[in-house]
Amino acid sequence: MEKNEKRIIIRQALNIIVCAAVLGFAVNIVHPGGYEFIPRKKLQQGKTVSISVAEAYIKYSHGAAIFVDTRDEDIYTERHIQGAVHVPSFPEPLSIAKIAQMKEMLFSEKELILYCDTGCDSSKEIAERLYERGYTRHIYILKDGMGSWSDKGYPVE
Amino acid sequence: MQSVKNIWAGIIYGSRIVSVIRIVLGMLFLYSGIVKTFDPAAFGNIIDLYGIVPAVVVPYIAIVLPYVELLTGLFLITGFRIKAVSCIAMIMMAIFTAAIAVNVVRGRSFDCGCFELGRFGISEDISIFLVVRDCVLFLVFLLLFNVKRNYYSLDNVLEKDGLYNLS
Repeated sequence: MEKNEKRIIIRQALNIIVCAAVLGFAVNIVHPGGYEFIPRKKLQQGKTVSISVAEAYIKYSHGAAIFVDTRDEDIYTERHIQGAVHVPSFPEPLSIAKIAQMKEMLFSEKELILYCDTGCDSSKEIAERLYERGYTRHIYILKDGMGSWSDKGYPVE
Repeated sequence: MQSVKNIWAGIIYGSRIVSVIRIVLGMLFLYSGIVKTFDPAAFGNIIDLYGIVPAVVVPYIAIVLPYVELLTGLFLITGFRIKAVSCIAMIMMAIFTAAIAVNVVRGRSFDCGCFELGRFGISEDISIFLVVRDCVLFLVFLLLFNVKRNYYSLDNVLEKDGLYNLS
């Protein structure tokens, strides 16, 4: 077999394998039983975990957690959990700036408990932003938010 | 002795029987590839059972290999790029034979996930028989690689028409 013929066969074989790979990955995108590729960084991340008011209060009384109020500034100013820091989810640039400003505190050894009001998404948004910035542990989200905390008569300011 | 030599020379030159073998093998590969594409995760689990590739590589093999088989089958049936696909098939056979042999030595037994023949009640559990079968298939593809003239093939038609000279 000529050297040139060998080269042509190898090239054709590689082309077939490349076509198979492209076809395989393209079908995998829409295949219901296909593989989902998740970035390794995301796999190493923690998850958001819902925490009840009673459990949150235990962490509060032991000083084991930092409470983060994710509601709008005026609502926070009106009333919030005693000692809670404010990181609003909106507007986004302000939210990102606040996280950057408080990064050392938020990324400390203490656990994070985020809260907003009942049925709101701002805590989840903040949690997502913290994970995007390298936070790797679980983040707690207070179940039923600020309302359930004050209903129990726990300290607010 | 001379007649055996003549038969061998005839096979190497190319005969209708060799072409039929090529088409049958192509259908086997096409079937096996199509079935594997239905459930890549299940095929991935079988690859994992062999215990010879890192878990992180398994999904990539499970996604690509069925389509390599599928295209190999399609090209063998149509007789297009026969030398190239025979080459691919030989590489696959060599890898499969080695993977099965390693697990036979380890004393393990599970469905090899080769040609999905279990659906027809034909056992494909890891055994020395499969090692021999894949070695035979390797030799058949080696033969196909060396065949000069392929009947019922696009390669033959294109060569006759001189279309290969245009590329």
